[in-house]
Amino acid sequence: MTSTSTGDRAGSGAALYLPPSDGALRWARKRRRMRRLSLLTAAAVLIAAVAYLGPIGWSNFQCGGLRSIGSDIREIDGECVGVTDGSFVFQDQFAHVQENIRAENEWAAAQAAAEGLPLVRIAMLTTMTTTADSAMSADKIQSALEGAYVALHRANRTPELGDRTRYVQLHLANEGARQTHWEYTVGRLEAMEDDDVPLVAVMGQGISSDRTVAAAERLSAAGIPMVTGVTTADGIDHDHIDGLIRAAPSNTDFAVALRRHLDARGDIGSAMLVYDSTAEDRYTTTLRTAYEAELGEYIAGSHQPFPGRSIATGGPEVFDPITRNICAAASEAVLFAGREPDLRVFLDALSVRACVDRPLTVLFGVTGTDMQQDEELGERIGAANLDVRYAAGSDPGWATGATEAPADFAAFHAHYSRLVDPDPAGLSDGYAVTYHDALATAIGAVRITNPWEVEAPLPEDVREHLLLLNSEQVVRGATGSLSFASNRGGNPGGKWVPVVSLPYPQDPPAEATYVTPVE
Amino acid sequence: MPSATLEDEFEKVKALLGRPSAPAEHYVELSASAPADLLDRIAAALDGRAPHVVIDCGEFSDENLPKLLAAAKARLAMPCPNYPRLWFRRLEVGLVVIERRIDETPQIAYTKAFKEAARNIIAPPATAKRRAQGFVALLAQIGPRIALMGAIGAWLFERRYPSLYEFYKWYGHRDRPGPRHVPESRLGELNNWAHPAGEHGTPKRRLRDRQLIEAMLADLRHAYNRGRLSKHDWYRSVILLRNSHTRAGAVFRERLRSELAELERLGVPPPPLLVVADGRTSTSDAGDDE
Repeated sequence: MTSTSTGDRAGSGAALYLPPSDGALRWARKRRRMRRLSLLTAAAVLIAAVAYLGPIGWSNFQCGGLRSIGSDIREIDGECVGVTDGSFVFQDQFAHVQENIRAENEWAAAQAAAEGLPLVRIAMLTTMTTTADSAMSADKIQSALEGAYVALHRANRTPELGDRTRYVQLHLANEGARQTHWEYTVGRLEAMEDDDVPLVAVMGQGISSDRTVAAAERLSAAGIPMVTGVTTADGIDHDHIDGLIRAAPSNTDFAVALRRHLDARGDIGSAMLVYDSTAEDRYTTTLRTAYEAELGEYIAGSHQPFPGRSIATGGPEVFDPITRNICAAASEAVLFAGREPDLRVFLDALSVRACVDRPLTVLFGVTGTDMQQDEELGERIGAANLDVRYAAGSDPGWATGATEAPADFAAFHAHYSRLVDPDPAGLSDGYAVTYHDALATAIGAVRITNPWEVEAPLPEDVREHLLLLNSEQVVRGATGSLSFASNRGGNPGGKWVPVVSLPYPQDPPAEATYVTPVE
Repeated sequence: MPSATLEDEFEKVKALLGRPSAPAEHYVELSASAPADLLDRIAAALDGRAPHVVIDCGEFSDENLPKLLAAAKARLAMPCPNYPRLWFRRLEVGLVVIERRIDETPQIAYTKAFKEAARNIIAPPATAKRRAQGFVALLAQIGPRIALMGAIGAWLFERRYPSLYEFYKWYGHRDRPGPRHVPESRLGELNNWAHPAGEHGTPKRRLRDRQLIEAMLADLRHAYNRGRLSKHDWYRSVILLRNSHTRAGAVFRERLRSELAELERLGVPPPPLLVVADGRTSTSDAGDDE
């Protein structure tokens, strides 16, 4: 009882207190420090991860939203660049043709699986976004895509472009409006070599620039064969870059075609050379060199240089002194070695020249131009007493039947009319036929490479077969029976290079078309 | 006898909570005049400060001390703030071994049979081992370095979470100086003390209980000798005995005291354990039954 009451008395106070042991106190302090350190470390890792992966994820997200996370499309400097199977649309204008390409890719995959045949990928590498100063117009890019789509469809669904021993998918690789992001895109292409459906070739480079050459050299080092699109500069060929051939004529081919044209018409004795003085532009510099080499006997008077990109540097005023010199020299003709935007400005300047009463012929070379669609320009040319002619990669009259076309153009045109546009005007810029032939050439090389093998060929093996596309294995292209051999440095033989009037006449004069030599 | 205050009694406990030094006090008996709820108040004060358990000896039979030890083990093994988890693997081996009679075969055959039985009872699960081996084999397909890291990881895991099988070897030496013995031999004896051969065999409970207490003390000693508990001064683990005057309480105290005395005599480091008994002692403090 006493014990209990004592206990009650004693126990009525505060609860017994036991301080933490020394070890527990130290451990608790250490654990707090470790927790803080862990939190700081975790925060640092998180910040580093966000800093490193965030921009990639965000740039990914900006190009196609959630669907594009993990894709090969990135936003760089406001442009969506990279590689797509057609599902990411680079510009709204291309939505329809890209959807067609995507659907054809799916069909090819399903068909290859059903038949147990190999499936391969070919990438079209070019600019697929446009800005105010982009190298290719959106209309030309669309034409290029449409031409490539027709070749893809023909190759997968008909035997017209070789035996269907391998089905083909076309992936679209955008290097940016001014090719500034070619390195990222080429990196993606290199990685595609090891995909389940391997990349076996690249086609379609469209600008004769140093960046095109740099990209081609890197792809060449990776063993990937290439068939360029509308690049025409001399020096971008198999002789200079191993594994690269091209579908378009070279600038030398243009110069030869123009010489034959001048020889045939016989009414022009001399021509003044007007050239873009931009040393870095391979297209203009090699075009000038080709004029000098092939048309030297016609070139007379002082050469007239102008700074490239004349719109930015002053418009028609840039050409004012040149037009004065042309009039003063009483030139019959001008050989123009410049880009299409500069040509427009030059023609504007010529339309108000002092000697407008005297006829003047303007000659140049280009794979294709959308100036044929510019009716206002056509009227100005007529009113200014100008005769504008250009050596080209195709003739708008082939589609209308106004002029004789290469043997296999009709087959291409039938597919184009059915799949893309029945209006022949769509072919006037020449890009569709050129890109059709570029992809047809790449597919031809893929299909003649070890055709007995059940596996997809290696890019290196395809590369070895590029220069065997001749004789019995020519490419039945829309612009001729294209033949590729080492003696022409991978430039197309059998290629038709017509000289075309601008604007295109209702009844074009009959003139023998220059066909590039096979040997 | 003057009445004891809470503080006085608690001071006695606090004075012995630190790391024991040899020779050490391991036992505190509260004053008979201390408040009835003192044990609970001490337990409350120990909450979050030290691993402890309140054992009501009235709930156990003096013949079945292993049950009391198992209850103490289960509570002491529960998480205590700042302390690592305390494992009682050696005691668990002993408890597993005394569950049932293992074999009647004498001598060598007995040892072999026991070893087989021990493996079956306390060996690591074969599936877990196979899974670990499969995991390492899977990593080997990625690369030899990854496989090596996986094997090291599995080894570290086994070290951190060893199976009971790793601890039965302790019974061969029991941390005592002198020659080592075959662990199966000692465990066989333990099994025999708990389950003597023959229909009329008498269990040697004292030997059995002291062996189990020794295993529990060894578990505590090893736990406090590694990791964070080996550094600085941590409170001992505390067993609070309620109704320590009962037969079971008296038997436990006596066997613990005997075991501690023997360990001290052999020079084995004192275990970090403190037993606090309520003040009402029993009349009999022995309990030999051999």
